[in-house]
Amino acid sequence: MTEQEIIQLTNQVFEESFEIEKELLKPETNIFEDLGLDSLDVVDLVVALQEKFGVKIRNDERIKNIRSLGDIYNFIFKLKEEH
Amino acid sequence: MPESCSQIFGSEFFHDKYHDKYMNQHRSDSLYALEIYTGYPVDFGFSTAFINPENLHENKLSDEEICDIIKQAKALGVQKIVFSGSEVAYFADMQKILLFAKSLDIDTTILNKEYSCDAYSEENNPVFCMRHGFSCVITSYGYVLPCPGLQIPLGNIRFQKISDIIKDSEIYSDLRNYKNKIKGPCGICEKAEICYGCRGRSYLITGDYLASDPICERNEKHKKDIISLPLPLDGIIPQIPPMKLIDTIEILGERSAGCSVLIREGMPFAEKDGSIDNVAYLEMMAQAIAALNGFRNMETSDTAPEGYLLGAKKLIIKSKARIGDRLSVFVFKYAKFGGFGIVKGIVKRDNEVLALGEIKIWHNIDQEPKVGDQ
Repeated sequence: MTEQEIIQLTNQVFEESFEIEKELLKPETNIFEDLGLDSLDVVDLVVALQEKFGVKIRNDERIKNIRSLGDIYNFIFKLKEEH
Repeated sequence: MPESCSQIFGSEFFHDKYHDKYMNQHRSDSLYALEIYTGYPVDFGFSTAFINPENLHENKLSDEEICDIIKQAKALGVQKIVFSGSEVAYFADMQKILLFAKSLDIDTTILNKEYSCDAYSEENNPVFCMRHGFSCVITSYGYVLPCPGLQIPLGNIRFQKISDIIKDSEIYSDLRNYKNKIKGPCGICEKAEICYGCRGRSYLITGDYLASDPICERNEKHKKDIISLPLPLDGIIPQIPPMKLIDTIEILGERSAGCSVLIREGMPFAEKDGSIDNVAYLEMMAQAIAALNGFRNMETSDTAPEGYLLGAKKLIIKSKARIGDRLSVFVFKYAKFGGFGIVKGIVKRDNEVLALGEIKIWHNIDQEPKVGDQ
């Protein structure tokens, strides 16, 4: 899976699961401050990413360090590499 | 000394030699031995309700898939692989598989005879089997089991790496944290440092993989202290009457449980026409997951674990329950992040599905001991 595909699918997760407008989805966007996600939403995000990418994220400590969309792209890219 | 099924791996893995080295370790996915079991398929029981039918594999592993397992096993530290079960000869090219293992410096053994953990064996001595600390079983259909006797599928290697399955498994975590988790007399036995009874026969007899071994001669006078499923949930879940809806925990699986509830007159959510408000289904699912968490942590906490139902989605109501109905509530922990979790739930009346959906919960994970917290 290419970097571009990861970005596209991740953005789809935000559009489909959180109804975020496409224009806001940039690597530097902070998912909490700019998109309004809270800790309750993170578990939904984990589920949606798992289903979209077919990876297992359960209890992955790296999730805790995610702040921006770019962090998510990098995280998924590394997960894909590991699998 | 009685023979235990962990002895199939050889004396180098036998209790006191591996115990200090392998148990209580913080790396929860490490493995030192593996059994590839070619016997009968596993009965999934109620867990099938939560498995995508596409993920239910009826095809046996190919030689290439077995070699991939061996590669993964090597990466986890496996030193020995035992091929067991009556159909061990089905691998088309066993010689190639054995040579591949040897090329990775992994010792192999073939057991042609079936062996099983017989729950009603006359052998009642302490078993000294603690194989979950260093091994697991992979069936020829790819399912990972804790051991041959404890036939609860933890996952399938066709969809996840062995390391991910073991890391994710609450059952595996509980077994490796045995000092905190084993319930009843086995936990306070003078041999508790080196023995936790046969987990297979404990599960077969009591329904609880963490119950004390009912067959062990050391427990002969303590049988009344060994609990079995189904078990009433008073004190195990935080809810008290009238809000306590579910009655008993009936069955355990990997991150899943089945509970029972009798709809009584005067129960909260009961309508005047004798039906139950749909909201009750969500509460039943939440209480069922509380039952699973509370039951797992019975030995480590005097109080029922704190938790909250935060929301629900994908809820489908198919039919109404009515006063007098006996319902089964099945729950499965689908995803987790810190103390937050997504739980899939199904409420049934006999074989009829009344409701299914997902709930979001929070529970206090500070009350859960981690592997290595002894």
